[in-house]
Amino acid sequence: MRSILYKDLVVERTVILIYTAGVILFALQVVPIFDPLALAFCLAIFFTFTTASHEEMNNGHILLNSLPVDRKEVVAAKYAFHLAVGAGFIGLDVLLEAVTGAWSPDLGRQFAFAVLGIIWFVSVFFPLYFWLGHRFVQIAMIFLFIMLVGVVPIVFNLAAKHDYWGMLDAVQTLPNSLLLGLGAVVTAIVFIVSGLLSARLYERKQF
Amino acid sequence: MEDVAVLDRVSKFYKGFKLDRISFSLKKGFIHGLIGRNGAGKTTTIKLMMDLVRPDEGSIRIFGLDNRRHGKEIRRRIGFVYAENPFYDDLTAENMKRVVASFYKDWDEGAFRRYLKLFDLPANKKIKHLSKGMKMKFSIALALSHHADFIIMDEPTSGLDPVVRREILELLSEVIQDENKTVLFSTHITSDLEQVADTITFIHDGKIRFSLPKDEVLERYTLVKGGTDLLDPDTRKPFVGLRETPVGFEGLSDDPKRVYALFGDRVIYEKPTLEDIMVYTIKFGENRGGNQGAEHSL
Repeated sequence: MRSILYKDLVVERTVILIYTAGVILFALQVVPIFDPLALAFCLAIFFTFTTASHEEMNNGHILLNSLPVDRKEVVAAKYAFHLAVGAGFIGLDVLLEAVTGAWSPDLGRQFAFAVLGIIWFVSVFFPLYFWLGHRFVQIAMIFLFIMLVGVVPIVFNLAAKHDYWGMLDAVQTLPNSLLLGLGAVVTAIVFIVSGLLSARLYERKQF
Repeated sequence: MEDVAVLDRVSKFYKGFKLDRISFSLKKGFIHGLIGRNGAGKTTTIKLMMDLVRPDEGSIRIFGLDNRRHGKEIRRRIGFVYAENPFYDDLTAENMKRVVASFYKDWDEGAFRRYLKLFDLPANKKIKHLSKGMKMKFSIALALSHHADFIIMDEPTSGLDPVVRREILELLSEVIQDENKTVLFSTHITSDLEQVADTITFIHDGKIRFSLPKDEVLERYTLVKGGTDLLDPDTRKPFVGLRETPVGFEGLSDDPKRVYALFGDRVIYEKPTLEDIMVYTIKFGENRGGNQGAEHSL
Protein backbone atom coordinates (compact mmCIF):
# COMPACT_ATOMS: atom_id res chain seq x y z
CA MET A 1 0.00 0.00 0.00
CA ARG A 2 2.93 2.31 0.72
CA SER A 3 4.06 2.01 -2.91
CA ILE A 4 0.58 2.93 -4.18
CA LEU A 5 0.51 6.00 -1.93
CA TYR A 6 3.99 6.94 -3.10
CA LYS A 7 2.86 6.55 -6.72
CA ASP A 8 -0.15 8.82 -6.15
CA LEU A 9 2.02 11.40 -4.42
CA VAL A 10 4.62 11.47 -7.23
CA VAL A 11 1.99 11.53 -9.98
CA GLU A 12 -0.22 14.18 -8.36
CA ARG A 13 2.35 16.36 -6.64
CA THR A 14 2.02 19.23 -9.14
CA VAL A 15 -1.76 19.30 -8.69
CA ILE A 16 -1.32 19.14 -4.90
CA LEU A 17 1.09 22.10 -5.00
CA ILE A 18 -1.27 24.18 -7.16
CA TYR A 19 -4.25 23.46 -4.91
CA THR A 20 -2.15 24.13 -1.80
CA ALA A 21 -1.17 27.51 -3.23
CA GLY A 22 -4.89 28.20 -3.74
CA VAL A 23 -5.70 27.27 -0.14
CA ILE A 24 -2.92 29.55 1.14
CA LEU A 25 -3.98 32.51 -1.02
CA PHE A 26 -7.59 32.24 0.11
CA ALA A 27 -6.78 31.57 3.78
CA LEU A 28 -4.47 34.59 3.94
CA GLN A 29 -7.12 36.66 2.18
CA VAL A 30 -4.65 37.55 -0.61
CA VAL A 31 -7.66 36.68 -2.71
CA PRO A 32 -10.51 37.93 -0.49
CA ILE A 33 -13.24 35.39 -0.03
CA PHE A 34 -16.20 35.05 2.34
CA ASP A 35 -15.42 31.55 3.66
CA PRO A 36 -11.90 30.18 2.97
CA LEU A 37 -12.69 26.93 4.79
CA ALA A 38 -15.62 26.20 2.49
CA LEU A 39 -13.34 26.87 -0.45
CA ALA A 40 -10.67 24.50 0.92
CA PHE A 41 -13.41 21.89 1.19
CA CYS A 42 -14.42 22.48 -2.44
CA LEU A 43 -10.78 22.23 -3.56
CA ALA A 44 -10.49 18.88 -1.78
CA ILE A 45 -13.50 17.63 -3.73
CA PHE A 46 -12.18 18.97 -7.02
CA PHE A 47 -8.83 17.35 -6.32
CA THR A 48 -10.48 13.93 -6.17
CA PHE A 49 -12.23 14.56 -9.46
CA THR A 50 -9.05 15.86 -11.10
CA THR A 51 -6.96 12.88 -10.05
CA ALA A 52 -9.65 10.39 -11.11
CA SER A 53 -9.77 12.03 -14.52
CA HIS A 54 -5.95 11.97 -14.66
CA GLU A 55 -5.90 8.23 -13.89
CA GLU A 56 -8.40 7.49 -16.65
CA MET A 57 -6.49 9.60 -19.18
CA ASN A 58 -3.19 7.83 -18.47
CA ASN A 59 -4.56 4.26 -18.23
CA GLY A 60 -3.36 4.37 -14.62
CA HIS A 61 -5.41 1.35 -13.62
CA ILE A 62 -3.74 -0.86 -16.24
CA LEU A 63 -0.30 0.13 -15.02
CA LEU A 64 -1.19 -0.28 -11.37
CA ASN A 65 -2.89 -3.65 -11.77
CA SER A 66 -0.03 -5.12 -13.74
CA LEU A 67 2.30 -4.36 -10.82
CA PRO A 68 2.48 -6.59 -7.73
CA VAL A 69 -0.54 -5.18 -5.93
CA ASP A 70 -3.69 -6.54 -4.41
CA ARG A 71 -6.91 -4.89 -5.58
CA LYS A 72 -8.06 -4.39 -1.98
CA GLU A 73 -4.83 -2.50 -1.33
CA VAL A 74 -5.53 -0.25 -4.33
CA VAL A 75 -8.95 0.65 -2.93
CA ALA A 76 -7.62 1.22 0.59
CA ALA A 77 -4.83 3.42 -0.76
CA LYS A 78 -7.28 5.51 -2.82
CA TYR A 79 -9.40 6.22 0.27
CA ALA A 80 -6.37 6.94 2.44
CA PHE A 81 -4.73 9.24 -0.10
CA HIS A 82 -7.80 11.35 -0.79
CA LEU A 83 -8.76 11.61 2.87
CA ALA A 84 -5.23 12.68 3.76
CA VAL A 85 -5.04 15.30 1.01
CA GLY A 86 -8.57 16.60 1.75
CA ALA A 87 -7.92 16.80 5.49
CA GLY A 88 -4.57 18.42 4.66
CA PHE A 89 -6.19 21.24 2.66
CA ILE A 90 -8.78 21.86 5.39
CA GLY A 91 -6.19 21.61 8.17
CA LEU A 92 -3.86 24.03 6.37
CA ASP A 93 -6.67 26.54 6.00
CA VAL A 94 -7.62 26.31 9.69
CA LEU A 95 -3.97 26.62 10.72
CA LEU A 96 -3.43 29.72 8.58
CA GLU A 97 -6.66 31.29 9.76
CA ALA A 98 -5.55 30.71 13.34
CA VAL A 99 -2.08 32.16 12.70
CA THR A 100 -3.47 35.28 11.02
CA GLY A 101 -5.95 35.86 13.84
CA ALA A 102 -9.00 35.07 11.81
CA TRP A 103 -9.78 32.25 14.22
CA SER A 104 -13.32 32.21 15.48
CA PRO A 105 -14.51 29.99 18.34
CA ASP A 106 -16.62 28.09 15.87
CA LEU A 107 -13.67 27.28 13.54
CA GLY A 108 -12.77 24.09 15.40
CA ARG A 109 -16.31 22.83 15.01
CA GLN A 110 -16.33 23.83 11.34
CA PHE A 111 -13.04 21.99 10.82
CA ALA A 112 -14.46 18.81 12.34
CA PHE A 113 -17.54 19.02 10.16
CA ALA A 114 -15.47 19.76 7.05
CA VAL A 115 -13.40 16.62 7.67
CA LEU A 116 -16.58 14.61 8.21
CA GLY A 117 -17.84 16.11 4.94
CA ILE A 118 -14.72 14.90 3.11
CA ILE A 119 -15.21 11.41 4.52
CA TRP A 120 -18.81 11.45 3.29
CA PHE A 121 -17.70 12.69 -0.10
CA VAL A 122 -15.09 9.96 -0.67
CA SER A 123 -17.56 7.39 0.67
CA VAL A 124 -20.02 8.32 -2.05
CA PHE A 125 -17.49 9.11 -4.78
CA PHE A 126 -15.41 5.93 -4.88
CA PRO A 127 -18.12 3.28 -5.12
CA LEU A 128 -19.71 5.26 -7.97
CA TYR A 129 -16.32 5.80 -9.64
CA PHE A 130 -15.36 2.12 -9.41
CA TRP A 131 -18.78 1.16 -10.72
CA LEU A 132 -19.20 3.63 -13.58
CA GLY A 133 -15.59 4.67 -14.34
CA HIS A 134 -14.75 7.70 -16.44
CA ARG A 135 -18.39 8.32 -17.47
CA PHE A 136 -19.17 9.04 -13.84
CA VAL A 137 -16.22 11.43 -13.53
CA GLN A 138 -17.28 13.38 -16.62
CA ILE A 139 -20.96 13.61 -15.72
CA ALA A 140 -20.37 14.25 -12.01
CA MET A 141 -17.88 17.06 -12.73
CA ILE A 142 -20.44 18.86 -14.91
CA PHE A 143 -23.15 18.22 -12.31
CA LEU A 144 -20.93 19.48 -9.49
CA PHE A 145 -20.01 22.61 -11.44
CA ILE A 146 -23.68 23.41 -12.14
CA MET A 147 -24.55 22.79 -8.49
CA LEU A 148 -21.77 25.00 -7.14
CA VAL A 149 -22.24 27.84 -9.60
CA GLY A 150 -25.99 27.75 -10.19
CA VAL A 151 -27.91 25.88 -7.52
CA VAL A 152 -25.99 26.16 -4.22
CA PRO A 153 -25.85 30.02 -4.11
CA ILE A 154 -29.61 30.21 -4.77
CA VAL A 155 -30.45 27.61 -2.12
CA PHE A 156 -28.02 29.23 0.32
CA ASN A 157 -29.56 32.70 -0.14
CA LEU A 158 -33.05 31.30 0.09
CA ALA A 159 -32.17 29.41 3.29
CA ALA A 160 -30.51 32.48 4.82
CA LYS A 161 -33.59 34.56 3.98
CA HIS A 162 -35.81 32.09 5.84
CA ASP A 163 -33.36 31.71 8.72
CA TYR A 164 -32.58 28.17 7.59
CA TRP A 165 -36.15 27.22 8.42
CA GLY A 166 -35.10 26.90 12.07
CA MET A 167 -32.83 23.93 11.34
CA LEU A 168 -29.60 25.79 12.12
CA ASP A 169 -30.89 26.91 15.52
CA ALA A 170 -32.00 23.37 16.30
CA VAL A 171 -28.57 21.98 15.44
CA GLN A 172 -26.71 24.74 17.27
CA THR A 173 -28.62 24.07 20.47
CA LEU A 174 -27.24 20.55 20.53
CA PRO A 175 -24.00 20.12 22.50
CA ASN A 176 -20.90 19.95 20.32
CA SER A 177 -19.86 16.61 21.74
CA LEU A 178 -23.22 14.98 21.05
CA LEU A 179 -23.42 16.39 17.55
CA LEU A 180 -19.89 15.39 16.65
CA GLY A 181 -20.21 12.00 18.31
CA LEU A 182 -23.39 11.24 16.42
CA GLY A 183 -21.86 12.54 13.18
CA ALA A 184 -18.73 10.47 13.73
CA VAL A 185 -20.65 7.23 14.34
CA VAL A 186 -22.89 7.64 11.29
CA THR A 187 -19.90 8.69 9.16
CA ALA A 188 -17.86 5.68 10.33
CA ILE A 189 -20.67 3.31 9.35
CA VAL A 190 -21.07 4.94 5.93
CA PHE A 191 -17.30 4.90 5.42
CA ILE A 192 -16.92 1.20 6.26
CA VAL A 193 -19.85 0.18 4.04
CA SER A 194 -18.45 2.33 1.24
CA GLY A 195 -14.99 0.75 1.58
CA LEU A 196 -16.40 -2.78 1.43
CA LEU A 197 -18.58 -1.93 -1.55
CA SER A 198 -15.67 -0.28 -3.41
CA ALA A 199 -13.42 -3.28 -2.77
CA ARG A 200 -16.10 -5.59 -4.17
CA LEU A 201 -16.65 -3.41 -7.24
CA TYR A 202 -12.93 -3.00 -7.93
CA GLU A 203 -12.32 -6.76 -7.58
CA ARG A 204 -14.77 -7.29 -10.45
CA LYS A 205 -13.35 -4.54 -12.65
CA GLN A 206 -11.64 -5.48 -15.91
CA PHE A 207 -9.02 -3.38 -17.68
CA MET B 1 10.38 -29.59 -18.38
CA GLU B 2 8.67 -27.23 -15.98
CA ASP B 3 5.61 -25.29 -17.12
CA VAL B 4 5.71 -21.58 -16.34
CA ALA B 5 2.17 -20.92 -17.53
CA VAL B 6 -0.72 -23.24 -18.24
CA LEU B 7 -3.99 -22.04 -19.77
CA ASP B 8 -6.69 -24.66 -19.58
CA ARG B 9 -9.86 -24.23 -21.68
CA VAL B 10 -9.98 -20.50 -21.08
CA SER B 11 -12.89 -18.58 -22.59
CA LYS B 12 -13.70 -14.93 -22.63
CA PHE B 13 -16.79 -13.48 -24.27
CA TYR B 14 -17.11 -9.95 -25.55
CA LYS B 15 -19.76 -8.47 -27.79
CA GLY B 16 -18.67 -9.56 -31.27
CA PHE B 17 -15.63 -11.53 -30.12
CA LYS B 18 -15.04 -14.75 -28.28
CA LEU B 19 -11.85 -16.33 -27.00
CA ASP B 20 -12.94 -19.92 -27.28
CA ARG B 21 -11.68 -22.50 -24.76
CA ILE B 22 -8.01 -21.90 -25.47
CA SER B 23 -5.43 -24.23 -23.97
CA PHE B 24 -1.65 -24.06 -24.18
CA SER B 25 1.35 -24.20 -21.90
CA LEU B 26 4.66 -22.34 -21.83
CA LYS B 27 7.82 -24.18 -20.82
CA LYS B 28 10.49 -22.63 -18.67
CA GLY B 29 13.66 -21.36 -20.35
CA PHE B 30 12.27 -20.62 -23.82
CA ILE B 31 11.08 -17.74 -25.94
CA HIS B 32 7.47 -18.38 -26.83
CA GLY B 33 5.88 -16.52 -29.71
CA LEU B 34 2.19 -15.72 -29.83
CA ILE B 35 1.12 -14.86 -33.35
CA GLY B 36 -2.14 -13.83 -34.94
CA ARG B 37 -3.63 -10.92 -36.82
CA ASN B 38 -4.82 -7.77 -35.03
CA GLY B 39 -7.96 -8.60 -33.08
CA ALA B 40 -7.28 -12.35 -33.04
CA GLY B 41 -7.17 -12.46 -29.24
CA LYS B 42 -3.46 -12.05 -28.41
CA THR B 43 -3.86 -9.06 -26.11
CA THR B 44 -6.94 -10.58 -24.46
CA THR B 45 -4.93 -13.75 -23.77
CA ILE B 46 -2.13 -11.71 -22.22
CA LYS B 47 -4.56 -9.60 -20.18
CA LEU B 48 -6.13 -12.82 -18.89
CA MET B 49 -2.70 -14.07 -17.84
CA MET B 50 -2.00 -10.76 -16.07
CA ASP B 51 -5.43 -10.92 -14.38
CA LEU B 52 -6.38 -7.59 -15.94
CA VAL B 53 -9.48 -9.29 -17.31
CA ARG B 54 -11.27 -12.28 -15.84
CA PRO B 55 -12.04 -15.48 -17.77
CA ASP B 56 -15.64 -16.60 -18.19
CA GLU B 57 -14.49 -20.23 -18.20
CA GLY B 58 -11.32 -22.19 -17.58
CA SER B 59 -8.27 -21.71 -15.39
CA ILE B 60 -4.86 -20.07 -15.66
CA ARG B 61 -1.89 -21.20 -13.61
CA ILE B 62 1.39 -19.32 -13.58
CA PHE B 63 4.42 -20.65 -11.69
CA GLY B 64 2.02 -23.42 -10.61
CA LEU B 65 -0.28 -20.93 -8.86
CA ASP B 66 -3.83 -19.87 -9.66
CA ASN B 67 -3.43 -16.43 -11.25
CA ARG B 68 -6.48 -14.93 -9.52
CA ARG B 69 -5.78 -16.12 -6.01
CA HIS B 70 -2.05 -15.41 -6.13
CA GLY B 71 -2.02 -12.42 -8.49
CA LYS B 72 0.26 -10.25 -6.39
CA GLU B 73 2.82 -12.99 -5.82
CA ILE B 74 2.79 -13.93 -9.51
CA ARG B 75 3.10 -10.36 -10.81
CA ARG B 76 6.12 -9.81 -8.57
CA ARG B 77 7.91 -12.39 -10.76
CA ILE B 78 6.63 -11.04 -14.08
CA GLY B 79 8.13 -8.30 -16.21
CA PHE B 80 5.35 -6.89 -18.35
CA VAL B 81 5.83 -4.88 -21.54
CA TYR B 82 2.62 -3.20 -22.61
CA ALA B 83 1.23 -2.85 -26.13
CA GLU B 84 0.10 0.72 -25.36
CA ASN B 85 2.05 3.25 -23.32
CA PRO B 86 0.67 2.96 -19.75
CA PHE B 87 3.01 5.51 -18.21
CA TYR B 88 2.13 8.96 -16.92
CA ASP B 89 2.96 11.39 -19.71
CA ASP B 90 3.87 14.27 -17.39
CA LEU B 91 6.44 12.32 -15.39
CA THR B 92 10.09 12.11 -16.37
CA ALA B 93 11.49 8.66 -17.14
CA GLU B 94 13.44 8.90 -13.87
CA ASN B 95 10.34 9.62 -11.77
CA MET B 96 8.34 6.95 -13.55
CA LYS B 97 11.13 4.50 -12.76
CA ARG B 98 11.05 5.55 -9.08
CA VAL B 99 7.33 4.82 -8.97
CA VAL B 100 7.64 1.38 -10.60
CA ALA B 101 10.79 0.45 -8.63
CA SER B 102 9.00 1.08 -5.32
CA PHE B 103 6.75 -1.94 -6.03
CA TYR B 104 9.63 -4.44 -6.34
CA LYS B 105 11.79 -5.74 -3.51
CA ASP B 106 14.31 -7.10 -6.04
CA TRP B 107 14.69 -3.89 -7.99
CA ASP B 108 18.18 -3.72 -9.52
CA GLU B 109 19.13 -0.08 -10.03
CA GLY B 110 22.45 -1.07 -11.63
CA ALA B 111 20.68 -3.19 -14.23
CA PHE B 112 18.25 -0.35 -14.97
CA ARG B 113 21.13 2.10 -15.49
CA ARG B 114 22.80 -0.39 -17.85
CA TYR B 115 19.62 -0.68 -19.94
CA LEU B 116 19.23 3.11 -20.03
CA LYS B 117 22.75 3.36 -21.37
CA LEU B 118 22.32 0.46 -23.79
CA PHE B 119 19.14 1.97 -25.21
CA ASP B 120 20.47 5.53 -25.03
CA LEU B 121 17.43 6.68 -23.06
CA PRO B 122 17.35 10.15 -21.48
CA ALA B 123 16.27 9.77 -17.82
CA ASN B 124 15.27 13.41 -17.41
CA LYS B 125 12.97 13.64 -20.40
CA LYS B 126 9.22 13.53 -19.81
CA ILE B 127 7.47 10.40 -21.05
CA LYS B 128 5.38 12.48 -23.46
CA HIS B 129 8.55 13.71 -25.15
CA LEU B 130 9.89 10.21 -25.81
CA SER B 131 9.38 8.65 -29.24
CA LYS B 132 7.34 5.45 -29.60
CA GLY B 133 10.53 3.41 -29.86
CA MET B 134 11.99 5.08 -26.76
CA LYS B 135 8.82 4.43 -24.77
CA MET B 136 8.96 0.77 -25.74
CA LYS B 137 12.65 0.54 -24.79
CA PHE B 138 11.87 2.24 -21.48
CA SER B 139 9.08 -0.25 -20.84
CA ILE B 140 11.48 -3.12 -21.59
CA ALA B 141 14.16 -1.63 -19.32
CA LEU B 142 11.64 -1.50 -16.45
CA ALA B 143 10.45 -5.05 -17.13
CA LEU B 144 13.99 -6.41 -17.07
CA SER B 145 15.27 -4.55 -14.01
CA HIS B 146 13.64 -6.52 -11.21
CA HIS B 147 14.96 -10.00 -12.06
CA ALA B 148 11.61 -11.23 -13.38
CA ASP B 149 11.41 -14.96 -14.10
CA PHE B 150 8.75 -14.53 -16.76
CA ILE B 151 8.75 -11.66 -19.25
CA ILE B 152 5.49 -11.02 -21.07
CA MET B 153 5.71 -8.67 -24.04
CA ASP B 154 2.58 -7.57 -25.86
CA GLU B 155 3.49 -6.42 -29.39
CA PRO B 156 6.84 -4.92 -28.33
CA THR B 157 8.08 -4.43 -31.88
CA SER B 158 4.88 -3.12 -33.43
CA GLY B 159 5.39 0.22 -35.17
CA LEU B 160 9.13 0.33 -34.49
CA ASP B 161 11.87 0.82 -37.05
CA PRO B 162 14.03 -2.18 -38.01
CA VAL B 163 17.05 -0.98 -36.01
CA VAL B 164 15.11 -0.73 -32.75
CA ARG B 165 13.39 -4.04 -33.47
CA ARG B 166 16.74 -5.72 -33.98
CA GLU B 167 18.07 -4.23 -30.71
CA ILE B 168 15.06 -5.58 -28.82
CA LEU B 169 15.37 -9.04 -30.37
CA GLU B 170 19.10 -9.20 -29.58
CA LEU B 171 18.38 -8.22 -26.00
CA LEU B 172 15.76 -10.95 -25.70
CA SER B 173 18.25 -13.51 -26.96
CA GLU B 174 20.66 -12.36 -24.24
CA VAL B 175 17.97 -12.50 -21.55
CA ILE B 176 17.10 -16.07 -22.40
CA GLN B 177 20.70 -17.16 -21.90
CA ASP B 178 19.62 -17.42 -18.28
CA GLU B 179 17.76 -20.72 -18.46
CA ASN B 180 15.55 -19.77 -15.55
CA LYS B 181 13.89 -17.04 -17.57
CA THR B 182 10.95 -17.45 -19.90
CA VAL B 183 9.65 -14.99 -22.48
CA LEU B 184 6.23 -14.70 -24.07
CA PHE B 185 6.32 -12.42 -27.09
CA SER B 186 3.14 -11.54 -28.93
CA THR B 187 3.33 -10.04 -32.38
CA HIS B 188 1.85 -9.98 -35.83
CA ILE B 189 5.34 -9.40 -37.28
CA THR B 190 6.21 -13.05 -37.73
CA SER B 191 9.74 -12.43 -39.05
CA ASP B 192 10.71 -11.25 -35.55
CA LEU B 193 9.74 -14.60 -34.11
CA GLU B 194 11.55 -16.54 -36.82
CA GLN B 195 14.74 -15.01 -35.45
CA VAL B 196 14.26 -15.64 -31.75
CA ALA B 197 11.31 -17.86 -30.84
CA ASP B 198 11.57 -21.47 -29.73
CA THR B 199 7.85 -22.21 -29.85
CA ILE B 200 4.95 -20.65 -31.73
CA THR B 201 1.34 -20.41 -30.65
CA PHE B 202 -0.96 -19.29 -33.45
CA ILE B 203 -4.26 -17.76 -32.47
CA HIS B 204 -6.97 -16.97 -34.99
CA ASP B 205 -10.56 -15.88 -34.44
CA GLY B 206 -10.23 -16.55 -30.73
CA LYS B 207 -9.04 -20.13 -31.21
CA ILE B 208 -5.60 -21.69 -30.90
CA ARG B 209 -4.68 -23.13 -34.31
CA PHE B 210 -1.44 -24.66 -33.07
CA SER B 211 1.05 -24.41 -30.24
CA LEU B 212 4.25 -26.14 -31.31
CA PRO B 213 8.06 -25.86 -31.35
CA LYS B 214 9.01 -23.50 -34.18
CA ASP B 215 11.00 -26.12 -36.11
CA GLU B 216 8.07 -28.51 -35.95
CA VAL B 217 5.74 -25.83 -37.25
CA LEU B 218 7.96 -25.22 -40.25
CA GLU B 219 8.32 -28.97 -40.90
CA ARG B 220 4.62 -29.66 -40.49
CA TYR B 221 3.60 -27.28 -43.23
CA THR B 222 4.49 -27.24 -46.90
CA LEU B 223 3.82 -24.64 -49.55
CA VAL B 224 2.77 -26.11 -52.88
CA LYS B 225 2.85 -24.32 -56.24
CA GLY B 226 1.39 -25.73 -59.42
CA GLY B 227 -1.03 -25.37 -62.29
CA THR B 228 -4.76 -24.94 -61.71
CA ASP B 229 -5.49 -27.93 -63.97
CA LEU B 230 -4.29 -30.12 -61.09
CA LEU B 231 -7.02 -28.91 -58.75
CA ASP B 232 -10.26 -30.78 -58.27
CA PRO B 233 -12.47 -31.28 -55.19
CA ASP B 234 -10.24 -34.13 -53.94
CA THR B 235 -6.88 -32.45 -54.47
CA ARG B 236 -8.11 -29.26 -52.78
CA LYS B 237 -8.89 -31.08 -49.53
CA PRO B 238 -5.41 -31.26 -47.92
CA PHE B 239 -4.91 -27.49 -48.14
CA VAL B 240 -5.28 -25.22 -45.15
CA GLY B 241 -5.33 -22.23 -47.49
CA LEU B 242 -5.37 -21.99 -51.24
CA ARG B 243 -4.69 -19.05 -53.54
CA GLU B 244 -5.67 -19.42 -57.16
CA THR B 245 -4.69 -17.15 -60.04
CA PRO B 246 -5.27 -17.50 -63.79
CA VAL B 247 -1.77 -18.95 -64.16
CA GLY B 248 -1.69 -21.39 -61.25
CA PHE B 249 -2.22 -22.02 -57.56
CA GLU B 250 -0.31 -21.73 -54.34
CA GLY B 251 -1.52 -23.69 -51.38
CA LEU B 252 -0.47 -24.34 -47.80
CA SER B 253 -0.94 -27.81 -46.44
CA ASP B 254 -0.31 -29.32 -43.01
CA ASP B 255 -0.24 -32.82 -44.50
CA PRO B 256 2.88 -32.96 -46.73
CA LYS B 257 2.72 -36.75 -47.23
CA ARG B 258 -0.82 -36.67 -48.55
CA VAL B 259 -0.01 -33.72 -50.81
CA TYR B 260 3.01 -35.57 -52.25
CA ALA B 261 0.89 -38.66 -52.81
CA LEU B 262 -1.64 -36.56 -54.72
CA PHE B 263 0.67 -34.37 -56.78
CA GLY B 264 4.00 -36.19 -56.92
CA ASP B 265 6.59 -34.25 -58.92
CA ARG B 266 4.04 -32.23 -60.89
CA VAL B 267 4.22 -29.31 -58.42
CA ILE B 268 6.90 -27.31 -56.60
CA TYR B 269 7.27 -27.75 -52.83
CA GLU B 270 8.66 -24.95 -50.67
CA LYS B 271 9.24 -24.47 -46.96
CA PRO B 272 6.75 -21.84 -45.78
CA THR B 273 7.64 -18.96 -43.51
CA LEU B 274 5.54 -18.20 -40.44
CA GLU B 275 4.07 -15.34 -42.42
CA ASP B 276 2.99 -17.78 -45.17
CA ILE B 277 1.36 -19.99 -42.57
CA MET B 278 -0.47 -17.04 -41.04
CA VAL B 279 -1.54 -15.48 -44.35
CA TYR B 280 -2.69 -18.71 -46.00
CA THR B 281 -4.58 -19.78 -42.90
CA ILE B 282 -6.29 -16.44 -42.43
CA LYS B 283 -6.64 -14.96 -45.89
CA PHE B 284 -6.90 -17.97 -48.16
CA GLY B 285 -8.25 -20.42 -45.63
CA GLU B 286 -11.61 -18.80 -44.92
CA ASN B 287 -14.61 -21.00 -45.67
CA ARG B 288 -12.40 -23.98 -46.51
CA GLY B 289 -13.06 -27.49 -45.31
CA GLY B 290 -10.32 -30.10 -45.09
CA ASN B 291 -7.71 -29.52 -42.43
CA GLN B 292 -8.61 -25.90 -41.84
CA GLY B 293 -9.13 -25.19 -38.19
CA ALA B 294 -7.37 -28.31 -36.94
CA GLU B 295 -5.76 -27.71 -33.55
CA HIS B 296 -2.32 -28.96 -32.59
CA SER B 297 -0.61 -28.50 -29.31
CA LEU B 298 2.69 -29.06 -27.61
